[in-house]
Amino acid sequence: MKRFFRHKFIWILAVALSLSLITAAASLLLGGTANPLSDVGGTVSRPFLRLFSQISDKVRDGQDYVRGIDALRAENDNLRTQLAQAEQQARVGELAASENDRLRSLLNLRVRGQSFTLEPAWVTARSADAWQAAVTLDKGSNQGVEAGDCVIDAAGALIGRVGETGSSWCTLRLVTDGETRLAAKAVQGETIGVLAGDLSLMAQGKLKLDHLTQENLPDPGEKVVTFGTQGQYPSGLLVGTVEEVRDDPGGLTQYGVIRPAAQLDRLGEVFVITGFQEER
Amino acid sequence: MGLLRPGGYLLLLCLLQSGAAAWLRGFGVCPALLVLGVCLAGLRLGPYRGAVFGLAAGLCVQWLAAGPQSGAFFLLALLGCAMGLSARLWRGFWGEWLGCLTGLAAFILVRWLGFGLIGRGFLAPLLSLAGPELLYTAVWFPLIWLVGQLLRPGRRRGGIAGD
Repeated sequence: MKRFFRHKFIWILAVALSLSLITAAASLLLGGTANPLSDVGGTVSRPFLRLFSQISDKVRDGQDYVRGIDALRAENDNLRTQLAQAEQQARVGELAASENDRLRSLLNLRVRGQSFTLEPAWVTARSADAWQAAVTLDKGSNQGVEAGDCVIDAAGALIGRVGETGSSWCTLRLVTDGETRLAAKAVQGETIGVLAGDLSLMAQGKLKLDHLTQENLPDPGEKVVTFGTQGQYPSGLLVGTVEEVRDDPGGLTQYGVIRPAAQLDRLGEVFVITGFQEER
Repeated sequence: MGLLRPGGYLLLLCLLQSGAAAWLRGFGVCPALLVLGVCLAGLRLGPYRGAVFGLAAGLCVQWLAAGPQSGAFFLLALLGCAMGLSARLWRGFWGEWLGCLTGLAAFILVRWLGFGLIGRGFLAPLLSLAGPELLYTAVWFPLIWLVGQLLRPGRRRGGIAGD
């Protein structure tokens, strides 16, 4: 035994094990707040990570510019068609909204709405870990960001939820991450399910709408939005589109494969929902 | 060997992992360059220094926040140490490649088992994440080997011994 402890590396391994246990305990006890070691590190490394991120973005933009002119032309034509369709839908929507207002006033109902308190933030680093889908943002608890806050892009699509917060930074777990668990519903068929990250779908940039029953399955192409019932997160945030419905390995339920609406591989400025009010 | 060369090597590894690995994505995964680098450091520095290097790499990962394997001080230190203990088995470029692949496979296996035990599935992550991560990271070994030349002791200047 004495000979065993004479090896110097045993002591290094003991220190490493202690640090791992302390970090794990701190994560459990602090519940979403970064431990002091990570907090200091995140604050110090933030400007450098931001710099790397900006350089990488510039390089990628340059590559895209060179490669993408033909693709941009095709996309432009496609977008013109979509715009025309959207304008048509907007006109129909305006008529429906005015009818809705009129009927609500007849029934003496209050207008249902949402208001968000948004904190703009920038992505400073992207996780290079195959087993998690996360990025680091440059806003933290000093700016009112808390663990569990939803984060959306400029178009209002859900990107993910805040995982861990430091004083001036936070970790954003993307919707495709394995830890994602949110109630959601398909807009047209009103199908309700649980949005769940899945390790095998994460590599493809997708996630699951889980716990669906045979009687009420969503159709491919349906939009899926959040369905907050406890006030923990807002309802109605666009998550993505149903691509297909598959049988669960157990065979008792089905799940929908969801393609996120937000472009998760091209994140720049995002918005943290630090507060929200919903009228039902 | 002083602290300068391993320190420079670690710095380069961290820059590669945090700055470049996310953009080198292939087959749906990012290469685990830092883990590969810890394996190589263990092979070249021996068990004690390999363990210290692994611990330092773990601290850097923790500091970089949202990096890979956050909090994996022990696993990385153990990996560095184990590679150092088995260094005699892996000689030359191809030997080091094989040795680093073995270390990486062990690291990924532990993570895969960990995720499986907390209910994230076994077979699907093995096929979609663990396998591609191992194979895709292996492709990047020559890059780490080049960076790892920093860990080779420099040639002594002056005449032949005995002159």
